[in-house]
Amino acid sequence: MGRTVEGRGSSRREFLRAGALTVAGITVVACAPAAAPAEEASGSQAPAVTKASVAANDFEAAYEEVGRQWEGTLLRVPVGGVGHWAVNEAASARFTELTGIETEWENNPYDQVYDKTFLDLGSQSGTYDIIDLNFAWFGQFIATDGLLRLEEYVNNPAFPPIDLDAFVPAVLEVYAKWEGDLYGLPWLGDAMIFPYNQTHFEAAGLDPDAPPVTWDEVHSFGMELTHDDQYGFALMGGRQIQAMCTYAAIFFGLANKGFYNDSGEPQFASDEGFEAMEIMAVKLPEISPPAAISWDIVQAAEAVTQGTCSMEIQWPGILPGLIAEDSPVNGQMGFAAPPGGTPLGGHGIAVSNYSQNKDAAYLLCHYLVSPEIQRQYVSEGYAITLTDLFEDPEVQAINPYLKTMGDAMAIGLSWPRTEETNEVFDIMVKHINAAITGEETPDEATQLMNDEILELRQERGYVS
Amino acid sequence: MTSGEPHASFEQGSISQGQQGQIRTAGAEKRNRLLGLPLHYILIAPTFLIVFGLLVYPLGYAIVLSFSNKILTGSVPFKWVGLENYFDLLEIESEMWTSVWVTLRFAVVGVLFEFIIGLSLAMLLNREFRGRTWLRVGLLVPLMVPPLASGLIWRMMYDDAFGIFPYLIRTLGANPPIFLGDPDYALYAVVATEVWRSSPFMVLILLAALQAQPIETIEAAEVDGASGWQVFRLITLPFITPVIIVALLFRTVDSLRTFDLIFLLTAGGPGTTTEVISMFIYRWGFRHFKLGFTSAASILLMIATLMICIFYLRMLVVRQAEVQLTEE
Repeated sequence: MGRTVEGRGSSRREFLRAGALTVAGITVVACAPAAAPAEEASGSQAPAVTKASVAANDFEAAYEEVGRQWEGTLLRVPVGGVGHWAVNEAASARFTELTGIETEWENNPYDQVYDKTFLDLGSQSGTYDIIDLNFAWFGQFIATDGLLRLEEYVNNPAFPPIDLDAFVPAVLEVYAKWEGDLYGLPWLGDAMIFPYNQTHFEAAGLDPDAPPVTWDEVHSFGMELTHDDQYGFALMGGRQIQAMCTYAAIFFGLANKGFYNDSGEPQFASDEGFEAMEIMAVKLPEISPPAAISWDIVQAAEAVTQGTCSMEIQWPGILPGLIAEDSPVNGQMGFAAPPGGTPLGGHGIAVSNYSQNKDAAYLLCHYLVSPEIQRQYVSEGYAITLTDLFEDPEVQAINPYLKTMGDAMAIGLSWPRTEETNEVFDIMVKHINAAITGEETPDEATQLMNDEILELRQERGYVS
Repeated sequence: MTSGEPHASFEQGSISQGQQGQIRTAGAEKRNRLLGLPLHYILIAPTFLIVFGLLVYPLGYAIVLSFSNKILTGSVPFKWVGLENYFDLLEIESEMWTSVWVTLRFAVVGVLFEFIIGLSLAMLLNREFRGRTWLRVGLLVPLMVPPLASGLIWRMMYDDAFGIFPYLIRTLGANPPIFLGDPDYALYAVVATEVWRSSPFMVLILLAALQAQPIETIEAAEVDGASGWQVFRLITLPFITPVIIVALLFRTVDSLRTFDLIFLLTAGGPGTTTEVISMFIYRWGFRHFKLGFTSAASILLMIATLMICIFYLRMLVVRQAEVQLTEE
């Protein structure tokens, strides 16, 4: 017979009190900040590694030795869901094997990477540990005080050494520094390039080794290449950021000047700005499929990969499909720098000032910009940020357009980095798309775009 | 036992009972307290907190923000601007009016078609025929598909290269428009998707109303020689009118708030031809991070929605008053 409980059972009051205490306990536990790593302060000494080493070489051993002290830490990274991110995930998986530091790569549509990161930094929530620092976003992120300054980490002997001089100097300045201070590490080089189908060129009686060098030539070549269901160009004309990138490439090519003059005023209401819009909204749609007025990056890249379109201006990260062995256009493609100029894209990698795991986050950033991992980016079509790797024949052999990317980066003009840049992009996207779809004439769209940007910059105090 | 008896017994000096009652009440009061607070306060506290946290506080905060120039980026110092955001939004050249016009067209055309399709299908399903159950289940499918999935499916169906609609039009020998890229078609392509997604809701509500209708009334009218159209116009329609008003209210309010579908299909483009008011608010809130401005826009949207609700509810009250008058 079991033990009998004598006396009264739990009273309602006790029951409720117990319930309330339980709920309170759960709430406190749930709301408590995540435990900080054992050694949060930078410069901490590396503890003895207790587990058997899994490092395959000295490079890996360096990260294993330092990183083990943060074993079990989880690092969250918001990124866009296409392109080179697979390399990052694979590289991070190895990083986890070495250090025990877990990583969570949150794949988002690219536009939302900015939204989510900005809101995270703005709210100081520290959800994300590592920040994908598209340099056009630099100003906004700095404005939130959300980026960790990295000088003391770079100079700290407790971490593996890093040589900042090994990075392409211009890229280090643009991707990683703000007013002389280091807030990131140069991660992924990028510049739009101009792939074209040499077989189509030959069939149309064009010289396959002579890609167009002006936008007028792009149009005239495109007219030669357009017939039946075949089109000369794949325009990214939908209401999305790539329409702005394409317009910027044309504008940079024609004007060889940035968005703003020395007084901080936009320069689109100029001969080159109007002409760029005319090309974007009238000439390129003439040589593109009708549906291109709603296309984004994926549809345009796919149209060239399938051989439906012969030319495009495109970011290299989405182009590996052109050189894949099973690609319908494998062996047919040539690559050139865009006519006259191109926007310089690219990303730094940074640590959130609000991260609870700054040291571990810095170590992962450090790992991802190392030469060993940068080689892997090349295989996914991305440019690199280390000078020596551009000259490495082995690396050049991995990717047939690596040299073109280097050329494009050399003539690339950078986006503005001020804090209202994303708003400027939004204004541009709206009017460029309106011009392409006939909602506004090219001249109207250019003038309205210029006026709205000017008003915004005046409001923010950027126009002197 | 009447309600007067305990009182009478108390007046008659039934002290022992009174004392017992007082003791019992005091004991109950003591027991009905937790952490020094009356138990009923504790019990409604979670609900109150949820309602306050999810409804009252955000709404209050949005109202407060709408009187400021709050921008999440750092270069503009915070300041109170009074009604400036409202004036900016309501001025004749404001972009908001374009969005309002798009929203009205989206809501009116969409809800009208949903109602026509919903009522027709509900009347069909209210009849006995073979396969009725399967048809009912099939009609519910769009309602069960997540908005994200339905948006992507329809985007593919509209795709000029791979989509079924352009393919069918080409098969017929015609040249299809770029459904989501042509300013003349984009809004109606989005409306069609919304109608597909939301008509089943209308069907469900109206079918329930039709099935609640007493069959005797219809039979009596038929015996008196009423035609099918007369039965519908004079008996069925008046009977289900209150439900129609409620269904229209729900759908109109939902249409005014639609965001996900348009975001997925066109992102407000081409140009601004599908930029409904929710997309407008999103763009200024999450692209420009102008929280004061977008809070003001949200408050205006809420007021407009409330006015539409009041209009529908007024219709409902008038209708009920008419019914009451008829019955009398």
